[in-house]
Amino acid sequence: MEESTRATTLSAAAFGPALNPLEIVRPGHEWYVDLDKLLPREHYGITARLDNLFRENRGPKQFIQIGLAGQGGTGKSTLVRQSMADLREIGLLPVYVNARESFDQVDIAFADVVLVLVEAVVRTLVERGETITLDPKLRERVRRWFAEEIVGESHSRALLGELETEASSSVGLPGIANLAARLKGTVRSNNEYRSEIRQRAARDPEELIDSANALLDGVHAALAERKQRICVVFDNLEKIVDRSQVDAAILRRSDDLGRLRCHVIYFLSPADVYAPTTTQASQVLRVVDVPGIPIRESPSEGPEVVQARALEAIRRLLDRRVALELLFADPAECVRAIARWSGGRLRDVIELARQACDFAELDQDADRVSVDHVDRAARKLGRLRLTVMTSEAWQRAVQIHASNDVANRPEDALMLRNALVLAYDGEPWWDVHPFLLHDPRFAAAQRGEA
Amino acid sequence: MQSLGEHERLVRFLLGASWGVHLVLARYEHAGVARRARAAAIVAVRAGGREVAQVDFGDADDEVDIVGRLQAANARAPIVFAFGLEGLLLDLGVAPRATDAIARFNFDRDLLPERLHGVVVLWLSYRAARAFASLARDTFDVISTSFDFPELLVGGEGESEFGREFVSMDSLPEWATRAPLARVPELEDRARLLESLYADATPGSAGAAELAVSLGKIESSLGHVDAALEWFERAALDYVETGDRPRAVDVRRWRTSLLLRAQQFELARAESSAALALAEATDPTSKISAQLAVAEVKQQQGHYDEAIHLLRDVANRAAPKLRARALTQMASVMLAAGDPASALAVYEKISSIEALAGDAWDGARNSKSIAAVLVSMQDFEAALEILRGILPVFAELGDELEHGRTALFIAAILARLGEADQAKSLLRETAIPTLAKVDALDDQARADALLAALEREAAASKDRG
Repeated sequence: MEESTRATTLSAAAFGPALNPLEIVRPGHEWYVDLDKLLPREHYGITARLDNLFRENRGPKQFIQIGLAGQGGTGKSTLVRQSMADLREIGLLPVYVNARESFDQVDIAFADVVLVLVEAVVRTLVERGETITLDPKLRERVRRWFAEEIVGESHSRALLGELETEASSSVGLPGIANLAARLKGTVRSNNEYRSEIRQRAARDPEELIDSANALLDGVHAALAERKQRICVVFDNLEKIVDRSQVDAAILRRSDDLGRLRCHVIYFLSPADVYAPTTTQASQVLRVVDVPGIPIRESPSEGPEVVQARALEAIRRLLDRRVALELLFADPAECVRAIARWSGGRLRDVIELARQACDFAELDQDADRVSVDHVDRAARKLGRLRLTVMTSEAWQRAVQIHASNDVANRPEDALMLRNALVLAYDGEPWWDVHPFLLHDPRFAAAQRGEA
Repeated sequence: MQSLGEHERLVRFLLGASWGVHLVLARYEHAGVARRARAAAIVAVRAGGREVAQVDFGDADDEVDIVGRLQAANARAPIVFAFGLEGLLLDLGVAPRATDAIARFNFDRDLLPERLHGVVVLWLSYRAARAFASLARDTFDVISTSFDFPELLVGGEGESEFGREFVSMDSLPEWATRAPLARVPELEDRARLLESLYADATPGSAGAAELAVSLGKIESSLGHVDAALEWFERAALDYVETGDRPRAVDVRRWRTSLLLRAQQFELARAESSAALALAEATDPTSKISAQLAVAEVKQQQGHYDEAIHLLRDVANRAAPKLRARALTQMASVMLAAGDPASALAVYEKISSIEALAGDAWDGARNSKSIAAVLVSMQDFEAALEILRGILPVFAELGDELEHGRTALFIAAILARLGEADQAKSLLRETAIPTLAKVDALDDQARADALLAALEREAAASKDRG
């Protein structure tokens, strides 16, 4: 991919990378803006909340499992990476697990979660070049756990081959990392060994957790001098469409997983918390909500309100990507319109800006983006996004708009999953997306016609 | 025309997009229109110096690696047109279904920038696009932009399909159409309950047969075709055991229709033969019912003359209600055979059947079929007059779905006639709110798209000056 640059023409903004929703921006990127530091912590961000939770669980045997609930397009992954960087000073050593690479998303078992966690911890330490020496007895225990207890002697050679021998003679973590990687690969795809591995691993859940803890304890003992503790972050779990997989493998097994001796953060969909399939995430995990940009700071502020601090954050975010003064006829008003239509959802800010630039580029009478172009962009995006709405959902939308609350109902889950109901605060209150408010079906539902 | 503007926008995007990968959605009403739009875009893009590769997922299995196939095509050209994804998103082109392929495509979203470059255009029917929005919402969320080819008012290949869409959809019984998503949990609960009752029912009893019929209908409306076929099979066997062969014939006819929609023509032919064999020893009505199934198979196989001959024979022997049904089916065959004038004559004949005179709904629906044929014959004014006449009838009868769809039909014709303001007003005030009331999401999407196209056209006119 070519190097990213700030767009200085309408066509570059409309067709280039600057406003392409597929571009991933992480801390350190030239377009990155640390919104967590720009916006009021009582209304936005997760660093302060995570900091509090980790500080409350600083005891040697205290670890916490956190569910990070946020809608797609709110910048969760970026926020967490920034938070983890900020929280290194309290001794957190982040270990990232990309659920996409680690699980068979249509078939996840509890044992997979534990094996993937262990693999990620070992791999991260190896990749970071950590010089950690595990006690030989522990190393042998881990090797036996993988090669004999989980895989079983009959399949050990077929699955692990020479790695098994290599690991037993290895003095460091790489051998164990290789064994674990092979196991992870096996449970991710459907094959003849997977069910046997799962069966063996899950035969005694306590033993499974004890074995994982033996390794985690060994790692923590080695990290003790640096006062570091592992925090495993399961990213992309919220993208698994079949939420019952997450429910069965994680939420319903939270008692077992809660015994793991490391911190864990699971990325969740808000529907897991507010309209769950069976297990409500907040009953089994400490849930931290990731709200959108607080363009409204209180439900009493109407949908037309855009708070100055949020407006400035959105302006900075867009200005990193496109030359606002060059491309927007009235930058302040256009950014305000984008902010208002976005409802504070980051991805919608980007998409509204791109579509508005597209319309302006098409408009023979305009050489810059106007508020009218932004409004047209909003109508276009709204039509696309609202295709999933049902009549029951429209009725619920009216109620949610009036009550600023959501309930455990299928319509609410539908709108939460599709970011058509937005969370507005760290202690969330809710409102429907502005796309809904301006659709004639919302007015019809308000009149009781739908 | 609106679609022409959309075509230009699409080409402009394809030639203008730079760096990274852009995922783009092109939504269409009918496959013929999409095919022509793709062909035209390829010519224009090649003239602009870029190459296009196409990936047809029409024959893909449920576990196909979508990103992998896109990547392979992308190695040949920077622009990729992906089409034929409907089979991975919808059962029988109707109900959304969750396939592993689509689930993984959603999960692999963040891989796209690593594995692809240029522009990937996903060509999806409105119905499939809606299924995509709910089944692959994370990938849907990073769509850069969308292009709409909503209506058939552009002349050419799609023209005759426009009217036919309204006719063919009208003829499907409720259980054969997709249940609204909001009803799915309720239907699934009912299915579980009925399954437990069926387990306790005496095999081969009338009760078991009725339960199996209900389960077949529920599974069908949930889009579970294999399960529906199985339940109908059990029902047919149970009815035979109880001696109720006419009901068994009905159920075999339903199986025939389901198999045809699944494009399993040989199995459908065998099923219709089984229905006919069962009907031989029963009453004349059952035999006619079985013959209608045979005619349906012949139509789907393209044996139009044989189908018409059979239906004419049936119509001559049948009582008024069945006669009307046979004639309706015959008109449909004539339309498929490209003979709208004969189809029109048949529909007008149906109007005169006495049995219909007392049934306002049947009469209105038949009038709507006539209007659809008139549209395919370019007689828009006559079609409008008929449709305006029946619009209040559906409203008075409380049939919101027909009311909304008829309003949409009228709006589409008005748009074609250049009456954009009237069309927009009808869409906003009647079609969209009415269709929303009954969760006719696909029709809503079509109405939305038409409204958007009209608004775009108005904005473009304003820009032009």
